Amino acid sequence: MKRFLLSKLLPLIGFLLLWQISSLFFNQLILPSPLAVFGKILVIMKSLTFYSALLVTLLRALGGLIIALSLGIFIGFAMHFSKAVSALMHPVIITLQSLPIISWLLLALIWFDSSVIPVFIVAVSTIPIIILNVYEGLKEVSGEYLELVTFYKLDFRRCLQGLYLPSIATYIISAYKIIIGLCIKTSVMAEVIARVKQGIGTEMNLAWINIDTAEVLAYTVLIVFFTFATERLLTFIFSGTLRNYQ
Amino acid sequence: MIRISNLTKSFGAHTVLKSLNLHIGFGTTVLLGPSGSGKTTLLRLIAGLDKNYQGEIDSEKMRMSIVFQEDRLLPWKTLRHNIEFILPRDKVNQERINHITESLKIQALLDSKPFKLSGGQKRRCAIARGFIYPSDIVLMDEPFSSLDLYLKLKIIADINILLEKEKRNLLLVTHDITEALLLADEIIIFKQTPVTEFQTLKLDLPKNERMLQSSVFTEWERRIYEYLLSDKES
Repeated sequence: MKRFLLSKLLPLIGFLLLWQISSLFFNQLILPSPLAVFGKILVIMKSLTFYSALLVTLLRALGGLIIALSLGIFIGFAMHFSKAVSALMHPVIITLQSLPIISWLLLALIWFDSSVIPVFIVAVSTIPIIILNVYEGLKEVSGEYLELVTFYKLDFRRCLQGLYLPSIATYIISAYKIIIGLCIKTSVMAEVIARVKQGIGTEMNLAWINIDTAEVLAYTVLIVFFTFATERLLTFIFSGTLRNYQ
Repeated sequence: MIRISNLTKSFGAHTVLKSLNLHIGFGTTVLLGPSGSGKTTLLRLIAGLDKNYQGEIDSEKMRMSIVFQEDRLLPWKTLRHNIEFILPRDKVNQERINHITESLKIQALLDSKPFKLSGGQKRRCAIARGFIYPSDIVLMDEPFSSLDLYLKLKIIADINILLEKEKRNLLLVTHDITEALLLADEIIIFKQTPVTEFQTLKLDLPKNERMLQSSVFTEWERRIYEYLLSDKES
């Protein structure tokens, strides 16, 4: 308990105090006080619009993630089993990793309908992480196990279920914290820029148009909270799965 | 049973087996020799794990199973699933799994994951997997090298009972004379690298621990040492 107080609670109280003091020197439009932001959080959380917006944002993030997982796993496997695909895909992955998300957003604005844009952005920003984790996971499949499956002439389906998928599962599950945070953040960002009809990004955009800084900060705090909550929930769900694969 | 004709195997400029002719018969055959004498190389060629050789290996389309030097148990699977993993789908017979694991004293551990087991228990599981697979011959590559003497003797005793019950053929690679004498019907001793010739010893010894204290065991041990040491001097 003492450790929790020292390591978690005290820094938070210190930060809130600093914020409170700083807000006294600025206009509320520039830097509202933590109390004002907390008040806004309560108002937002009482409204039904927030929950439907949150659900839409999370669904978009999930949609992008499913696309990225499907394509990422497929490409990762193709790269592992084909030198040609690996040689072809490496520069593509490096490009995907180094391309600023804003470039994708601008292109997506030209290519797609606004509601699809967040899904696309989540997919392109997470796919390199998934491909690399799958690829690395497959590389780590021990030669000893490969010899075992070669000797007993096990078919690809059995190898996939018994050897390859469990091997990459540990890699993907260990990267999920980065992936979840990235999915939610990029989904909200894309919603703001693409001006979609519904979503947390839409609500933040409205707050920004109304120059309601307290509301923008309130949504920011809520995004951090829900990202953290999703991570904790997945940690709880995956803890059993991770133990299975260790 | 396994006929090896004119077999040559090299790793780059280093020839390990040279024009080797060998016949491995029924029962338990032990390939004995010092480390690096080409025993494991020969076993891997027989197992089909290395196809890069000259000559001929005729195993008469025998079904083989293998016990590697390492356990090679998938950490995310229980022992039961590790065993089932290698079995042909139509050959998963729980009764047989229970019977063999009972003989090797690991039946109670079948639903445990490898990380919960001791080294000896994992070894027993790897051996059980080799025996449960429906093969005509079990290949074993130094399967007891990581075990202490006491555990080794206990597992060997269990294997001997299993071999007797199952009427299975065994090809064992080892550098340990005690292991060889406790298991073998025939010992093939490799002389030097590259292996071109070898010594074959036919044995008819009682396969139990008491034999270790007998004069017959000492005599066979002396003969093998004599052979190996004279080879070194030459």
